Amino acid sequence: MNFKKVREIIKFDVQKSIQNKWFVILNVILFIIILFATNWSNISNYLKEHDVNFVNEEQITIQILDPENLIYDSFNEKYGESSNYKIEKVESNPYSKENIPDDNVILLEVKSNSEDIITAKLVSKEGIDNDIYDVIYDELTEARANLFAANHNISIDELNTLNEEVPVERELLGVDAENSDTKEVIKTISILVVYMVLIIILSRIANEIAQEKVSKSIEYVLTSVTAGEYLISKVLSVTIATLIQVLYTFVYYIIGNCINSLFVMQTTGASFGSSIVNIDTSIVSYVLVMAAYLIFTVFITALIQATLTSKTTSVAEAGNTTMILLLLVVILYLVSLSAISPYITVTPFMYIISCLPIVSTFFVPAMMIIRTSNNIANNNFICCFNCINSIYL
Amino acid sequence: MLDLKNVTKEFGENKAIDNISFKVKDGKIFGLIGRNGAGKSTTFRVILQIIEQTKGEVLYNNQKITQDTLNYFGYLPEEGSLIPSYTVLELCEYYGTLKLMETQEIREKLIYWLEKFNILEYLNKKVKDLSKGNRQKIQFIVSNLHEPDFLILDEPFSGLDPISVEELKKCILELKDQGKTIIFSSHRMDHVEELCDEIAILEKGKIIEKGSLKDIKKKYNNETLNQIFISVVGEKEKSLQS
Repeated sequence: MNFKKVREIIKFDVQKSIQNKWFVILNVILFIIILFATNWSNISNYLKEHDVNFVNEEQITIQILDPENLIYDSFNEKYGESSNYKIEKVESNPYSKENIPDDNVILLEVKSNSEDIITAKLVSKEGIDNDIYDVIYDELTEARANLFAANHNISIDELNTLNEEVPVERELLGVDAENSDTKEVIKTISILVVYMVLIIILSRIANEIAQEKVSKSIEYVLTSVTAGEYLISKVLSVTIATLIQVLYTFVYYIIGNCINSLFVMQTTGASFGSSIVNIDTSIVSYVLVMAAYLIFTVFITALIQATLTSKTTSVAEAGNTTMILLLLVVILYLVSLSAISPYITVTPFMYIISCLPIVSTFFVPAMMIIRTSNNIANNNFICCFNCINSIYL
Repeated sequence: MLDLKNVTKEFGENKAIDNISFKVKDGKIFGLIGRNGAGKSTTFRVILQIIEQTKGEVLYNNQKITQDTLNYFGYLPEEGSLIPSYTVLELCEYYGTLKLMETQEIREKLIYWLEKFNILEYLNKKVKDLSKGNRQKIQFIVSNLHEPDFLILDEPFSGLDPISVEELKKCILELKDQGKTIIFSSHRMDHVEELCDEIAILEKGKIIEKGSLKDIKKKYNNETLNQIFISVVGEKEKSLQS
């Protein structure tokens, strides 16, 4: 293999991917979005403090048809004085297909019932805003609880205690079980990152190779490099370009968090260092292994994509191969999410499939949570070494 | 010198080229002529090792052609081999990089050739925005950018207007004067007659006539190459039918 040529092609391709206006535009937009996302609580607090409201708050008339007076009094007491709501008591429901209520009118009909305790009916012209629905629903729930407590001669506090979830504390005593919740979150996010990165990389590889193949420029290319050198160069250049983008995104995230920490420091008086992150070494090693597996998976999957694309004759066909690979990745993503958890015992079947390349990315880091992955990790690194070795040969 | 010895290329049961042999001497222009589907492009692909021959040998200076030897070759493929979404500069930088040229060197040579063809204004234009003729000129430039010793031109005059044809002919003759070896295919016999020292006529994958242009013309009573081609291919067809 002519490494000089491979290196030159990678250099050219990566430069072309990064040094263009679309890459710059994408990154400016991404930076702004991440900055907003990481500082959203500060922004929203600022807007609240300065009375900035984006919602058009038109007064809503709630007409209550409640012959048994199950909720009217309580509703009127809470919201009767509110500028957002106008509460009216009505004796009948005048609305039908022929007589549709106005935009800002809702009719709430409430009845008691031996089975469900309380039933309600909402009549409006269009769908009801979620905030208003929540207000009505909370009132109905409270009224039902009161009615139930009265009927069964128990207090509301007793009823609330009965409705609460049973508190179960999970205590994991193993060394690797520390911060298991954080690791679980990292697992979920990182698998999602793998998936997103794969979508970008596979479609880019398929598109680039198919375009060169369809335009016959591959013929010119193949007078300079071998087919193997060409595929490896394409895979590596697209992988590197995507990983650079991932790195940039990570840097934007750090910047956003630092800015957020500065705000927190100003408002709470906490020190900058402690407010950024309290690093746990086991999480750092976990993230590093995850990153290694990400690169490994991306490389192997990209290589499969490149090989499949080289067998196709059109961009559309190349797109189909991408879809098949992505479908495989989605299945692995879903299976790994549901199969691996600190609270589920690892079966021999999971061990076997975890030793396969690609699959391992989804399983091994997650299995690290439950300290069962050392042998699998070793197997995969040997497998990775063998793959690279066979490509070289 | 390029030497093809008993080369055959089969695609399944179909023989695209069948036991062909010819030599292209250094500093000469060799014309490979034949009808559509005769096997001209396949021959070029085999020479350049884009596809491997089923039988036979392809030697350059008495050695098998390797990836390193291919650096001495320039290739102008028949169909548009340019990536449409690239600009002319990007494209030449990409192809030049594949031949291990420095960026500065690529730019200098590209500007030289664009000026030669009076199309310098297309330097930063996308390939997809160029006319067919201008794309053909860019293909020719790409094949020459790394100053190869051996040029393979598959239908180089295709899509060119008469003025551009003359410009390209002039360029080819200049390259010959510089000692380059050129092999090209064409349907235009007048171009072949004007430029070539030696020719081979391919029909259904087989060479049915080859030799120096002078000798072949002498053999056929100084008829035009067009008449010779029609009579040779016609005779072959008749013999196959009978």
